[in-house]
Amino acid sequence: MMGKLNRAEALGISLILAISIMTVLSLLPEEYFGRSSAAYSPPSPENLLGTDDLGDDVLRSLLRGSRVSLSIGILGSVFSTLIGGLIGVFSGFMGGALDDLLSSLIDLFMILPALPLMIVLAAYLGPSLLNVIIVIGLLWWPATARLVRARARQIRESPFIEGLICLGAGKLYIILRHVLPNVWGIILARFVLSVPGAILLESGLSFIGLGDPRSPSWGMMLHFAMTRGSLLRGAWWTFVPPGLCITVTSLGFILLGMGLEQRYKLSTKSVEGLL
Amino acid sequence: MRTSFIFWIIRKALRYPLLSFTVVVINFLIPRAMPGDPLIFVFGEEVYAIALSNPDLTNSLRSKYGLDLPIIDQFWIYLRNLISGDLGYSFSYGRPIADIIRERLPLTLIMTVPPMILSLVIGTILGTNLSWKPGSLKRIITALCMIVRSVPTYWSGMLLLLIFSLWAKWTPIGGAPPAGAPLSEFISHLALPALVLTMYNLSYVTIIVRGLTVEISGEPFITTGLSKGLNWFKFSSRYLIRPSLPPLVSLAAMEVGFAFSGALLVEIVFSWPGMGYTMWQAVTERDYPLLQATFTITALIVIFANALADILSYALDPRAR
Amino acid sequence: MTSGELEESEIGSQMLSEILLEGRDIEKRFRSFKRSFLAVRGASISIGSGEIVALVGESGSGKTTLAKILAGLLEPTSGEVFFMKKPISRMSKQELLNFRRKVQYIPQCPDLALDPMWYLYDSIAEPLRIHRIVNSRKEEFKIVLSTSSRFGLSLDHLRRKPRDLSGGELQRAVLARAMVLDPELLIADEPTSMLDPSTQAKIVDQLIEVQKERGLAVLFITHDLELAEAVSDRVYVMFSGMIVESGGTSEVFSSPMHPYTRSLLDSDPAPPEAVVNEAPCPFYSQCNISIDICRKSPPPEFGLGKRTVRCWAIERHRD
Repeated sequence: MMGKLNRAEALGISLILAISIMTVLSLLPEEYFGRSSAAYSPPSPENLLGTDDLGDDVLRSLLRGSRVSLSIGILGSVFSTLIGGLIGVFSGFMGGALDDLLSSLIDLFMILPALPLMIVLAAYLGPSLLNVIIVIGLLWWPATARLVRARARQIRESPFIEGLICLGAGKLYIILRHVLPNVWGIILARFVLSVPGAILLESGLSFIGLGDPRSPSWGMMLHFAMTRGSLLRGAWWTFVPPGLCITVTSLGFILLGMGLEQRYKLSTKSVEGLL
Repeated sequence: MRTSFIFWIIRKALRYPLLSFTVVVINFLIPRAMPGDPLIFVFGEEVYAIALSNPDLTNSLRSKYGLDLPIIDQFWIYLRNLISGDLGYSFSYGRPIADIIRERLPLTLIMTVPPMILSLVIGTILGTNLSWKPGSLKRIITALCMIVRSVPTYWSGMLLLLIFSLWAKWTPIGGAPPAGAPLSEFISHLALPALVLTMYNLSYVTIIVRGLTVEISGEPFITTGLSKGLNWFKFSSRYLIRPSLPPLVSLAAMEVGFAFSGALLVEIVFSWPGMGYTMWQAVTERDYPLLQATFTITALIVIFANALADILSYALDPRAR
Repeated sequence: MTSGELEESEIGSQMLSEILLEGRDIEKRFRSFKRSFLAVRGASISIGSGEIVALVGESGSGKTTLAKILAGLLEPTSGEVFFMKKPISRMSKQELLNFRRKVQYIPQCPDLALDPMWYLYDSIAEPLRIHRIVNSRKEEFKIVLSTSSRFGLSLDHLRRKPRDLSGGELQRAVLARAMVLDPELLIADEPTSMLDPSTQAKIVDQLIEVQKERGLAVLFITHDLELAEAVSDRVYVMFSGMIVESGGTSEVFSSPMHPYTRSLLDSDPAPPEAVVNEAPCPFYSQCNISIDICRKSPPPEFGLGKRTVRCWAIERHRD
C-alpha cells in the first residue's frame, strides 16, 4: 500500500516522528527530566528549558503536554472526520431532499465562526478532555463533509453505479461496498489534514482557559505563560517551546496530508479545505 | 417560471435569515438545555451563589426573568429584547451588555478590518504574480504560507510582543489608547496585532488567488504577450483579477469569519479590549449572559457579512444567472 | 388498422412464445432549470423470449434513454414498462429483484462500467452474491470461471483491476458479469462501438453464440446498420425520440417505408440530423413527402401486417 513516499509525505512523516519521540519520552519516569527548582529560571544544564512560574521544569511539562495535545488532536480529528465522512457520503450519494437538508447543514456550520461557538459550548459543557474532543468533532466536520460529498456525487454519476443498480444492488449495499472504498483516499487525506486544525483549536481553547487543567496541553502552557506573568517577565522559555511544538506538529501533519493528496491524485484545491 | 427555479430563489433568499434565526435559537436553548438551574446562566456563577443563600430573592428573580414561564413565552421575551437592543445585564462588569458591546465592537473592527484589506490587496498581487512566475520563488512562498498557517496566531503575537515590546521597547505592551488619542498612538498599539493578522490572512489569500489564476496564466497568449512586454499591471487586472472577483468576494466573506475567530485570541494577547477580549473575560468570570450576547452579535455579524458577499458575488458574476 | 401491438397469432414462429419486455407509449422528458428536452416520445417496443431485436438510430435519437427506461434505470415521464406482463413501477421488492436478475443491461462504455477498485473476479462474482445464488466460494468460483472463460477471459484476467485491461477485455468482462446470472433478456447498448473492428467482430460472435446456446433474448442497440441487419430478427428504427418504423429485419431493410428509414438506407452521404424541437413529427423539416397534417399532429402508429410505421403520408397513400 505504501510504495515510495513523495517528498511532502517524507518531510511530514519525519516531523511527526520527531514529535512522537517526544511523546514516547514523556512516558519515562519523571526523574529523568529536571527537577523543580526556583521559578522563572532560564535554561540551564539542570533544567534544559528552564522553569516556569511554579518552578516546574519546562521540558517535563512540554513532554507531558505532547501526549495531551497529540491525543486530543488525533481523537478530535477522528471524530470530526467520521461525522464529516458519513454526512458527506450520504448527502452526496443519496441526493434529493436529504442532500438539500444536509448541504444546508454543512453551509450553516461553515459560516458560523468556529472558535466563538466552541468557546460557548465548552464554557457550558465544562472544561474536560472529553468535552474538548466532542466540541472539536461537532464543529470541524463541514470541511471534510463538503469534499467527501463532492466525490460521492462524482461516484454517483459514474456508469458503474448504474450497472450495480441493474444487478439489483440496494443503495446501502452500494454505499458500503462501492462508494466507501472509492472515497477512502479523500477521507484519509482529510483525517490527516484535520489534525492540525484540531490541535490549533484545542490549544486555542486551552489558551482561553477552557482546557482541562488536569491534563495540561501545550495550549495550557501558553495560557499559563500569558496569565501568570511569564510573558511579562520576559521568560521566553516558558512559551516559545510549546508554540514551537504546536507549529512543528501542525506542519508535519499538513505536509503528510498534502503528500497523501498527491499520492491519491486528489485536487490541490483542498488547500482551501484546510480551513 | 419553472417551479424549481422559484424554489431555488426562495432557498437562497431564506438562507441567511434562517441561519440568523437558528443562531438565536441555539443561543437561547443552550443554557436552558444544560443540566442544572437555568438561573445560573442568567446570572453567572458568582451572583448565583449569592442568590442561593436567599431563597425568596431567588424566587422573585426567577419570576422577574420569566424563568417560570413556559419555554415559548420565554423565547418571545428573549426575541423581543434582542430586537429592541436589550442584551441583558453583565454581572461581572456591572453594566448593561449592550453598552459594553457598543464600546467594544468598534475596537475589534479597527483591529480586524485593516489587516483584511491589506491581506486582500497584497495577497491578490502576490497570488497573481505567483501564478506565472515559475520555479523557486513560488515554492518558497508556498512553504512560507504553510508555515504561517501552522503557527498559532496568538503565539506569534506573544513572540512579537516579547521582542518588540519587552525587549526593544518599540511598541506598548498592550491595551488600547483612549478615544481621543492621536493616530500615532493607535498605530503603535495596533502595529503588532495587525501584523500577525495580516500575515495569517495573507497566507490564505495568496494561495487561493494563485489557485484561481493559475489556469488562465498558463495560456499561451499570456506568455507570448508578456514576452512582448505587455504592461503587467494593466494586463493582470483585466485578465486575471476581473474574472476572479466573485470567488474573491466569497473569500473576503470567509475572512470576516476568520477575523472574528483569529482576532479573538490576538486581542487577548495584546489586551486589546474588543469583542474577543470581552468573550475571554466573560469565560473567565463565568458571566454567561455576556458570553451569550457577544457570541450572538459576533455570529450575526459574520452571517451578515457572508450574505453581503453572496449578493455581491452574484452581482459580479454574469455566469451565475 | 390499430396501433402497433404485435399480435402473436400473426407471428407464428416458435421463437415468439411470449413477450418478455414491453414498453408502451414511453415518453421521457428531461427537465432542468430553464430547459426541457423531450428525449423519447410515444415509443412502443417489445421483445419476445429468444429473439434478437435491433434498435437502430443515429446518436442523439434517444435509443440509450429508451434502453435505460426499459432496463428500469430511468423512470419514464409517462408510459409503462412491462416485464412478463407486470408493470415494473408496481412490482414488489421480490418481483423487482427477479426482474433485475432476468433482465441485464450492458452500457456503452466498458471503461467505467466496473468499479475501478474491485478486482475483476469480484465484479463478475458480485451478481451471484447479491442474489445469493451460491452457497459456497467453490460454487461461485466454478460459475465465474466457466462464464468468464466462455468469453475468453482467463484467471489471469480475473486477477486484475479494470485499469489493467483493454477495452475489448473489459467489454467481455461486462458481458460475463451480465451472463453469470443466466438472464432471459440482455439489453446491449452499442456493445461494440467503443472497440476496434476486429474485437467488434469477436464480441458479436460470442454474443450470438451465447444467445443460441441459452435461448437468450437480446435487445441490440446500435447505429451500425449492417450489424443490425446481420444479427437481428426484428428491427425498430428510431429518430429524434420517436420510433418511426419497425418490423422484420429483412423486410424493413429491403423495402423501407418511412422516409427517414429510406434516407438511412440509401447510401446517402448526409444522414438526416437529429432534430431538437418538439414538432409533432420530428422528421417534418427534412421530409419530402410531408403533407399538411404532418405539421399539426403527431403521426400515430400504423400497422401493416407485422410492420408498423409512424407517418401520415404513408397512411394517406395507403388508403
